[in-house]
Amino acid sequence: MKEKILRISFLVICWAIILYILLPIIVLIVNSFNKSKFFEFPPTGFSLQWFEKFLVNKEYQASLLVSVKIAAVSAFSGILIGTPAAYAIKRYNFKGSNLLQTFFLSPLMLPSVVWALGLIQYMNVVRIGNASILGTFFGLISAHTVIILPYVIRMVMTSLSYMDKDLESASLSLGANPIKTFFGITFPLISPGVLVGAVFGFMVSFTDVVVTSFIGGSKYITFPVRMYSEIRSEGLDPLAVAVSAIIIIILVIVSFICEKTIQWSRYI
Amino acid sequence: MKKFSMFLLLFVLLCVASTVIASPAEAADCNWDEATCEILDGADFGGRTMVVGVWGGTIEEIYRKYIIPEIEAHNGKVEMLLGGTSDRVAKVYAERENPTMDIAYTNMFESAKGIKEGVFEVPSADAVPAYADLYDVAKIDAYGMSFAALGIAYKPEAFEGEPDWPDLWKPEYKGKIAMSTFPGSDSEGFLTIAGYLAGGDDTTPDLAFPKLAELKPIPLFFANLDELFMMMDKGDVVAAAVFDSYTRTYIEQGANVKFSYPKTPGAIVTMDTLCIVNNAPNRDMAIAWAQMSLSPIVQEAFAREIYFGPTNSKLVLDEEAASKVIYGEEQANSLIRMSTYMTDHRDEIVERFNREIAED
Amino acid sequence: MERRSKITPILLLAPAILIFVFIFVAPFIYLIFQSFWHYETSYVSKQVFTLENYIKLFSDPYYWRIYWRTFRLSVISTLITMILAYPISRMISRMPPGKKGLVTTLIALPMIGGGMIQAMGWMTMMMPYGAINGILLSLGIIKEKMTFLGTETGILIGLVQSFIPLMSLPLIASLGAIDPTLEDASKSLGASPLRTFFEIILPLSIPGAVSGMVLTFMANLTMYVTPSILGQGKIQVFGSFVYQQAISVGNWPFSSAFSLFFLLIMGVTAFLSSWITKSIQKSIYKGNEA
Repeated sequence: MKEKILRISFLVICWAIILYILLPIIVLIVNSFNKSKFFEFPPTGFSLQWFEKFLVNKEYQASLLVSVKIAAVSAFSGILIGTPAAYAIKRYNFKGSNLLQTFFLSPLMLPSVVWALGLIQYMNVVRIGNASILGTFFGLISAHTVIILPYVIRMVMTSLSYMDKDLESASLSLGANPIKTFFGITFPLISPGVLVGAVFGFMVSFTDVVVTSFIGGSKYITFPVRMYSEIRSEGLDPLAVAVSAIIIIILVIVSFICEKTIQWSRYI
Repeated sequence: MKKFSMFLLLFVLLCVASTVIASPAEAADCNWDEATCEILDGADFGGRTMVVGVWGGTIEEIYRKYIIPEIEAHNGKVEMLLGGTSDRVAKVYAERENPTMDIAYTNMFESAKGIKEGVFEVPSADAVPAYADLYDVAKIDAYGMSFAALGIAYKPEAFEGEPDWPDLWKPEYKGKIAMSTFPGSDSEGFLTIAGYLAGGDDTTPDLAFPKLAELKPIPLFFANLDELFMMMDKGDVVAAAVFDSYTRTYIEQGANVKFSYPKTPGAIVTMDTLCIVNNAPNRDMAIAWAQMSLSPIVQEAFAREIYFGPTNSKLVLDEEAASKVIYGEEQANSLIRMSTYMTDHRDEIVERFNREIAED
Repeated sequence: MERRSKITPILLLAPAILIFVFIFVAPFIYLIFQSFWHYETSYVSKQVFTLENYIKLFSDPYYWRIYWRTFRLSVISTLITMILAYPISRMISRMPPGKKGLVTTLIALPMIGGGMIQAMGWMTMMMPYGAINGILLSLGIIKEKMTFLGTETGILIGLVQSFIPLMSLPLIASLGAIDPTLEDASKSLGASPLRTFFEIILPLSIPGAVSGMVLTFMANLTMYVTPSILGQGKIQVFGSFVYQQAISVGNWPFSSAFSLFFLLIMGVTAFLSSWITKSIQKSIYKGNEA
């Protein structure tokens, strides 16, 4: 009996903590249907007006599109660069592979605000042809690729360690060349990890504020950066809350699809 | 079936043709003043997108209503980058080698500095004809866009009569005076007032900061007026230094708030400015934008709809409209004007504000 | 596989290394140079060698207070995060695979949604007449409304929430790896649940806990969006101060010096903490053996 009470109270505490973790997301979604302009509690009424406003706000739509474009291209270049790197670290035991791994994961540890501070000025000096790369699509993509790479490399490495190495050796000993082995055996087996890397990288790029707000220039304003700048100068706008609610709902759906199909929680 | 599709094709072609023919006709039917029409006449922006950095809210709405449709009618697009002056200015300086913004709205101090540093164009009537029509005070180092006065927005029930600056320091209001976030024109202006009340001016931070600190605890650092007026409505805040134009918009909408132009030492005048970024990627569009912004039509919309004082001397306001804004050069000159001291010493001022005012 | 040429791994790694060197490492080197330049006026600096930025940094205790506040908040936040993450990680680690994945995804949502969205949610709740005050007042828990925005409490509430996933994910992995029969054995031998926890589960979960804590601590140190939005400029921490110096003030040389010195402190802390945890782990294993 006592044990049962203990177990139930443990479960209650756990779910209370989970509720706390999800609270901002829930509140954001609830608030986006609020009638009033103020975030008073309890909400004053139900309304879809903020969603309607989003449909006519060209800037928000444009910056959402920019966000998607940048995140998609960065995620793609992230897996393109990250997969071979992870493969090399995991499959070739060379001197310093551990050090290299730490090097690739270091963006997760170092303050991105410092990096961004250096990046904005560094990019201004670096030129391709006549123009500096600051504020260009190329500049943004390369920065976002760096943000994404640690995640991709870690996730692909995880999926490589799940995989049976003997399959590769068998293929090689049967005379297949390394390239054929990689695309015929290895890649299909690690592809869930690569896919998770791409999806996660997309989300990381999509939600980044710090780096993008420094180096974004004024041509490529992503949605979160627009939000951040407006909140700081104009305060919180219900319209912004509504759009964030849409984004978070999409992210939740994508996350659960990823979990249901490829069990992505194994990799994150 | 074939016949039908032929008809359809013909119909589509006709539609396209008629829009092509119709657009020059529209351009000829120009509602702007002569100089503006001359710039717009036959202009084709080739589908390019210009970037305008500006404040959100009422100002943004005016541009959406008056200028953007005109740019779009001439085959151009506009992207507005909303935010505070400092975000904008930082961007312009950072990308000075390769600008991506065309127009940046700032204040008279930042525009003067930006012109000196070469990030903004030197204003001239050759580029933007409307510049010639501006009051002299609006021509100094900038395309002056609008005037506003910093005074007191207050809760009517909390004061007998109109409050003056010294009233905010009365003991009964301690802990109920809000301030806008720093750095920003409103809070810098309020700091200046504290300097005057302590026997100095805007160049005497040693006097101003201790005086301002007497108001602590500050119940709210507001980023927008919705927040401020809600807190005022609930009684947590009784007054704050705010610009007349924004407050008047709320008053006209029926908010329970009043505005006073203080006498001791006076209200502070500020001028928002329009800056064309040096080497702007879409300079032709920037010039059209600037010309329209300074034209009497937009200036009148600024005065009548969002209560900003006009800078264009050609604009004549009737008495009622004039009474709600800073109108005319004389009135603008009668108010307190800050020097560039705060902008020049921004690093020291921000740090002192962090230490002496923001921290509890 | 060992016979494969040495050139292959180099070719595979080359793109990643190149982009890291040019985009990630180079800006830091640029900052090192810049921290010795002279600040002229906002956004304008002169490339002449000077030590003035470091002199400013070392001669004024205000900057040290910002470092100290950042560290203090990070330690508190990491500890609370640890305490809250432990029970849920334990619960999740014992769930059947399908359910486990779903709940893991659920708690990973803050990480996926990004700091901006979390901070916005908290901001609406923490407003003077927002949900938190509304609920607490109506339940009679508090008599007068509390201030959350612009306070350390408010920032901590936001930080802990957004970093629980970082702590939880490695913990779930290492708790899940503990053989359930060990616990059963301990129980059947008559050990109380508490004793089982302290003698079996806790020591075995230490590797996961340590890696979670290091991740969380580092993330806390470099926090930026949460404190700048929930702190409302009243509470300056490292990240928000750098942003203010760089963007609002435009003193790039000083923000470089301020940042680089912080990196140095972080490096030393990371080194010390890994050294300490290693020796703790050693002593625990020794204790268990004895």
